[in-house]
Amino acid sequence: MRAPWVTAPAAIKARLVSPAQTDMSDPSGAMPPGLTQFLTGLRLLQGVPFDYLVANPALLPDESIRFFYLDRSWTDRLVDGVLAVGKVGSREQFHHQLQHPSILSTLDDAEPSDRGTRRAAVPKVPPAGITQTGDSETSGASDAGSSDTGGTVTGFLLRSAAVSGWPHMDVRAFAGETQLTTLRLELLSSAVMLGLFAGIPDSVRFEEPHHGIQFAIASGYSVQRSNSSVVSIWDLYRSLTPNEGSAALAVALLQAPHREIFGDAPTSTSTANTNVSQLTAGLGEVYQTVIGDPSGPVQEASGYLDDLADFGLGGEIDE
Amino acid sequence: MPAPGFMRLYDFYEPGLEDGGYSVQVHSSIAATQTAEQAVPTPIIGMMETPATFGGLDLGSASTYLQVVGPRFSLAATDIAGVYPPRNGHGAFGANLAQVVLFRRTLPWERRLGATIPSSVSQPQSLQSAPIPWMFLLVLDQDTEIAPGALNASATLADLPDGGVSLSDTPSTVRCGLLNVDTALLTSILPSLVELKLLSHVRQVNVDDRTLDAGSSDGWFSVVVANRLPAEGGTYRACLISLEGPVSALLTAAPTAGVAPPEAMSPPSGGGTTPVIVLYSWTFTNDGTGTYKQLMESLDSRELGSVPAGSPAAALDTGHVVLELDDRSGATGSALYRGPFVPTPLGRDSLGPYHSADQARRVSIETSLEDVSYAAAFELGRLLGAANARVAQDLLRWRRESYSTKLRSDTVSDLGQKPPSGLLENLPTPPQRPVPTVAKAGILAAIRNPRSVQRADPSGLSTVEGAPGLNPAKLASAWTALGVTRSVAAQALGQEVVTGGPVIDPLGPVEAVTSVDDVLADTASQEALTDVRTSMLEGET
Repeated sequence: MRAPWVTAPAAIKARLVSPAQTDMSDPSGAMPPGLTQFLTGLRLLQGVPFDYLVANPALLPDESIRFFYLDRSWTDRLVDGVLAVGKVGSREQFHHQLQHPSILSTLDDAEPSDRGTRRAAVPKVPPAGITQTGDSETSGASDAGSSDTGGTVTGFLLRSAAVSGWPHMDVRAFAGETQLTTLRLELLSSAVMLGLFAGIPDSVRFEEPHHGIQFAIASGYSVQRSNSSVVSIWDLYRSLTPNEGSAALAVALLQAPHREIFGDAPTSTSTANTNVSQLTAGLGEVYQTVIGDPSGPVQEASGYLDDLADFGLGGEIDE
Repeated sequence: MPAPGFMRLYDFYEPGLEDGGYSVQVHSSIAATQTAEQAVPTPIIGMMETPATFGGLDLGSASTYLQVVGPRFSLAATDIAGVYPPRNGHGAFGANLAQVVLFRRTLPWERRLGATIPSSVSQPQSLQSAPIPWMFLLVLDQDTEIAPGALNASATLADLPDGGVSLSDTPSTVRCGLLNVDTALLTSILPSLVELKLLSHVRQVNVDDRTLDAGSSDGWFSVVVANRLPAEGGTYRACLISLEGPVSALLTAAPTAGVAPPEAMSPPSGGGTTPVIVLYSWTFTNDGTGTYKQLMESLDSRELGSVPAGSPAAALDTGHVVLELDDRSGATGSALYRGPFVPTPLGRDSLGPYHSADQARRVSIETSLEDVSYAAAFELGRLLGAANARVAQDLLRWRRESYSTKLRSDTVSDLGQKPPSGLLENLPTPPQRPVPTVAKAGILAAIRNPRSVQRADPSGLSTVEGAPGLNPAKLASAWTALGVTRSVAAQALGQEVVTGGPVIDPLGPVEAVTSVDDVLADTASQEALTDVRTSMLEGET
């Protein structure tokens, strides 16, 4: 029998000498997209049990908020563990060893867009008879902030009755004036909220959900003749917005959402107007009314929510 | 979508189709007109010109019926985007009107109430075009105004007495929530039709900065507001009711002017009860410190891993937690564990990929305890990956494709190179087995035409004799016929010509064998066969 041309030890040795693997930019060597999405989500701790995140319940007691940095090595070990599935011999080990830098850079690059991908995957049920508008619009806020992938990730854990009562509260993190990309914002349970941001923020702001801003009537209202607890909407309407529609009345009655800021107070660039009565009178001039025309905006509550908070009407600073 | 921090409000959002039955009729017809450019003169003499217009072809019509059905007697919990005050909330809600926020922007205007506002009632221009919503948020004191058993969450339409708007087009087994409310109280709370228009509106907000399930909406919400303020210390139930049914008889069109709020006045009662259809309800208490502002302001805020002064330390100063560990030999001990959340920024481990959890174990020098954080993370990743069948398949497929691509490229590059030395020289030659030619010819002839074999021909001479040009007698007769005699041939060749005589077969004629004994007695043939066989085996030609 003649000598074989190639033997297994020689093949392994050849691989050791020239260990190059198929580059991941080559379509045949690239990670399948399902795997990429799973690993990106895993790096943002999707699917990780709560006991692994907070080992001792005393670390997150009731009515508390905790801020932290994310340990990148810990999440890298998660990815290493997933890639250990099916790793039976040296061939798979070489493959992983040499693809490791490419894997890390691929996942780092995919991290900021993971939230957008998951949001697009959530099915939207269009309302009856109305065509969807604005689906192709992308939000400007989540693209703002640092584009340095693989950088520091920070976040918070909030356990409070506020999460169960207002589950859709608005959370934004700012470094100076720029908003940081929100990598993940989810309720881990009905009372615990987890948020992850790309970068180190100076302030984190929590606001009541804008769709749930409620109406406040403190005094000076009149009641129904028949029942003293029932507010006379007609009188309110005639005194506040006599010739407008329901939206104008809503704006007049809106109570600015409370904004809780953790960290440094924002530096307001708008001209400070601390005279409250002037501000409420000015509300009448802020909006224009277009009656019943859904194609055009009726009211632009143009940033007055931010202004009210900056003037201290709704915003509190807690450090 | 409005920019973050902005909100747009609308008076109403008219649905494309209101609830009800519709008939759709489609009629098609074709008509054509020829333009001047398209006109082509006909060359055939005597034929009339083609007409400039084509009269029209009626393709007939088709009709169908469709029913638009929206929520009418109940609302799914998934239709509700949020409520205020929060469900089972305890807080200072005394100055706030209750409200319910719905995901569908057209929902309050999808049904048309039978009632209309007469033209005698003056409304401002902006309100006149608004449709009347069919929902209203009714706030009642849970203890004093709702009798026990008055709220039936799983009643059927059969329990609703006929009155007002007829509900006869719906089967009476449809489930709904029913609430029996005191008629006088209900009349005092219900707004007029004009005020009803003011209590519903539409909002459009930017949903990018909130959790994903809220982000599943497109930013459009419709809001229904109540008109009653809760008193201090009471538990209230807010019910989103439908204004169809017996309650529609209590609605008035014109608004009445209000009065300044007097001191506490008990609500009116008496006069029987009216059932109302309840779409959704929740309770809250106007007491305590449960508003958003109070809750958020009272939060204890610090970094993860640090505990308030005075409480027992839950973690070490590095954020590690001491856990009990059962090691492989069964002994129990302590180990340190820290999750992915750390109080100080850490560098990224650059020791490359780990191939097993044991590689990731560390020892803490100060406490001499083992740090299993990264090993635990590795094992968790492995379990999560293995539990997800799709991930495992993707991994295997990725590796397999990677290997096959690499193998292909390796083979291609190797083929381009010279094969190792000595390969071609050492190739062994295949063995040669020569076969006698004459015997081969006889065998071939026997194979081609078995009947032509008259007798055994061990020497092959009869085959030669039969070949043309090799039979001497025939040759001689052929030459004689051509006039070539012996003397002429001798003169041409220059020597004496010798013709062969008949070939003498050394074996003699062979009789046909008829029995085995004859074969066995024919020793001469057997010897000849043995000779041929030996020569074939030894390779002699």
